[in-house]
Amino acid sequence: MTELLELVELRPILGDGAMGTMLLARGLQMGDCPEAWNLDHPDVVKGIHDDYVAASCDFIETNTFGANPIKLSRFALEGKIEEIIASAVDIARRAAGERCMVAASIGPTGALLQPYGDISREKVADAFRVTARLVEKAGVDFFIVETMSDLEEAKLAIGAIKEYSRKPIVATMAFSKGAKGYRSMMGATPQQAALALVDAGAHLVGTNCCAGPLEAAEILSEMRQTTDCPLVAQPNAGLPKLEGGNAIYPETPESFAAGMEKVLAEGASIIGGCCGTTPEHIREIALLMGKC
Amino acid sequence: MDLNELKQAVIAGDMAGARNLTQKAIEAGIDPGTILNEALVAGMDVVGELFKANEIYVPEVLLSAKSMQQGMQLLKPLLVKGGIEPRGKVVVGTVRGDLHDIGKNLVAMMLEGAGFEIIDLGNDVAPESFVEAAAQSEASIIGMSALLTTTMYVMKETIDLLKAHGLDGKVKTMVGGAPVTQAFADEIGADGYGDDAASAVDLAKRFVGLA
Repeated sequence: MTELLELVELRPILGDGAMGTMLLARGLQMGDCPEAWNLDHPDVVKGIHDDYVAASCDFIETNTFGANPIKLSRFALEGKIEEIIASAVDIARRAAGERCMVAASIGPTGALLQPYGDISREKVADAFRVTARLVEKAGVDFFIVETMSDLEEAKLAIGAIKEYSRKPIVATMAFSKGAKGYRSMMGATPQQAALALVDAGAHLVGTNCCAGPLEAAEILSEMRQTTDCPLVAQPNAGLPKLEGGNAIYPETPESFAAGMEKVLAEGASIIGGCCGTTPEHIREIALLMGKC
Repeated sequence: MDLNELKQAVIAGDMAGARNLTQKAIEAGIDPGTILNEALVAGMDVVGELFKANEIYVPEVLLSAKSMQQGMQLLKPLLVKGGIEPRGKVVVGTVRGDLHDIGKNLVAMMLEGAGFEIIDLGNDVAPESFVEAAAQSEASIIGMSALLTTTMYVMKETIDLLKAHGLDGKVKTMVGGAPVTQAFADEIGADGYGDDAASAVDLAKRFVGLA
């Protein structure tokens, strides 16, 4: 398997789509712990990975977005973190086989750092250290720190990973557009975020969980003004609308793929999808990229 | 003593300053209700306007709200003793199945900063709990938050349950959170939608006839 960093020099890399919304479509209940399904329903998790692998992506992400001690403690599952991560990586490896790479998904803790919130930097750093150590032990090809809304927390996650692994680190944040342009929840601009994430040691930086491909293209274009670092975009399939009591994401596989062409035109090195995207969305991009 | 200094400490997010200046104002014999309205609430009003205009972001608002709370801790017993009523009672919570409380906490703090009494039910709150808490506390507003597209529909259950208890109209509902829109609020029959924490405060003021 060619290393990620060599691969992105050659061509854009295609990631997978959503895990959370796919699990919900397969029976995960609101308020359940998605990562617990690595233990309770490994077949369902593998089935989702299988569909993405079949859609010709270059890597899949482990079902470990919330697998950190702080978030798992909300489900009283922090004691099972080692099993959860080991199982998640094993499931992804079995689905990926020799066909694609496996990346560890590392999401936020859901807690606000002091002085804004109540948790210390050291506690959050420790939580990411636990996750990084267990993921590295289970063996992935690279890390994706994602959906971060606080730059400081993203930096703590990157720092923790670097203590335990030499594997490449992708770091992406969520931005939304206000009167003064794109900002993270805590107020960082895409330019500020890109610079700080690269400084913290990320090898690729970008955005995920933003409204849709067109927004992602604008965010990457802003990031490109301050960094030569390879860029990443994994947007949502648009903002959901309510139809008959169900959340419907407006971007169809076709419209999503068309939007992702604009993201590629901004020079993105890794693309993929977040909430509301499905294997069909990824297959449509793969077709456009001539991968299948 | 000039209350403007305390108001500026709240705007600047100076927690120690807000506490010390509130203490000084109390010792100077200024009426607790005046300290609350002309310094703490007035300061948070400015913060809300700056936030809505994207002049400041969540971190600055949180520091200001915490500074306001420093003053409130000292004032609260005096306000109660003086029989000064809050502007209204608001039951807040993140809906069932949703554990995201950053937005809800921000709204709760901003509402407190506007002079409301907050009954915070935390996160993963069932519709029954919202209705029960509102009935018991005689709150006039229920504020619901959801970050997930999958949990926002639980808001409708609370609104329907309020109706079933004959409390609709008596208890106003307001909703907010990343995936929530005005159209969604209309569809589920909520009385109001707040685009951000500052708008939620505007809405609550309107509900109690203050704006």
